[in-house]
Amino acid sequence: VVALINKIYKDKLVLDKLKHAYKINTPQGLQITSFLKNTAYINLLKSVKSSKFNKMEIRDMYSFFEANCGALQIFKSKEFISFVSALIGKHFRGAEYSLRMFMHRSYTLINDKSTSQTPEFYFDLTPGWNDAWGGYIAYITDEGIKVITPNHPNSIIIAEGSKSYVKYVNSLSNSRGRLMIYGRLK
Amino acid sequence: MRRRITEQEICSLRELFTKAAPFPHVSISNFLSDPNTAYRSIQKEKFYLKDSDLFTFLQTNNLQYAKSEGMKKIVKYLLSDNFCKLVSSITKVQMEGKAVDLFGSLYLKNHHLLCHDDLVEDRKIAFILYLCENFSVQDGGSLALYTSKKGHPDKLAKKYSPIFNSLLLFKVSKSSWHEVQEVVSDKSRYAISGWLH
Repeated sequence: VVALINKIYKDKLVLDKLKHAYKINTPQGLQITSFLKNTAYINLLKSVKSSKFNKMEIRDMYSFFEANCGALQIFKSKEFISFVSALIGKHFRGAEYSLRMFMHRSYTLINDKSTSQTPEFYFDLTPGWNDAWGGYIAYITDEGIKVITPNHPNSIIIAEGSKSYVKYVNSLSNSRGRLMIYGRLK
Repeated sequence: MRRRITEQEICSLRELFTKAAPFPHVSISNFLSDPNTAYRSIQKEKFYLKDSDLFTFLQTNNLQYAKSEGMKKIVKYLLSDNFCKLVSSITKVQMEGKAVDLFGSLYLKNHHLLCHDDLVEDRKIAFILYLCENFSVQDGGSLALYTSKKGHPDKLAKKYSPIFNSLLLFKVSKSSWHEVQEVVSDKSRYAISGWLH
């Protein structure tokens, strides 16, 4: 089995720092940059670009394009599940996930089902995205604190206990799309 | 404050309102008798950025606390029994009181308000008074109305581009799905919005 996660995050001291940050951050969670090894990230990017997307829309909840592809199995690999279990300090059996593309007029809205009992994650696959185009991931805590996460290809956001949304992608994006993998641990 | 609306026009508006799809609504053109004063007044108001998952636009504080004389006059009329009676006679909806929520809004390029139903507390009728230069479809900023299916918005049924000095009324219900589409030009989309309860 080839290791896919950047080895720096396997280091005990680094992992301990991440565990601490995950617990103390508001909202609870963190964003890890350069998450996959560069070769693994590039291979993943190549694989997902040939995916066939379907439009998913319930207009008062979300509108985006979704696909699934074999390469996403990284996110249910033993390596990934062991890493997030160690990070969060809970045992997870696996994850459910999908590949999402946000183009002009895509968005997700906060709704009653937005707060999950299990942690969620976003893996960013979009180089060169500009937050002025929308499409950024934001979190709202129960206290109303809003945190906008910086876009960063090959980064993963793992969070729990707060509500997240993907901001409406506006016309400045032209025909560009923001690719991300959204998943939940189980 | 508003131009004279005859009984005959009220009957005609009532019919349009009742029969309108996807939910009861009507647009009244040339509503104010002196819209240019209103236009100048709203431009003097202070707007604050409102940004969330659902929207990005600029909004005033409650206009009941407006300071300019021009805006005070408009607000006084929109909060009056006369306005409430006029809306009631067009919509055949009995209101318990006058408008309580009254805000100025300003949509600039890329601003938008995604699909929602406006159903908050006991709102009965929503109104929007456009105080901006006329928008074409190419400018964006249209008010889009959607049909309802299984409790969610479904198909786009009608679109209204903002027309200077027109008042749009619609009945608030769990099926009054609507959105303000993204403004894609450099025009400033000023309006006063409120709800009758």
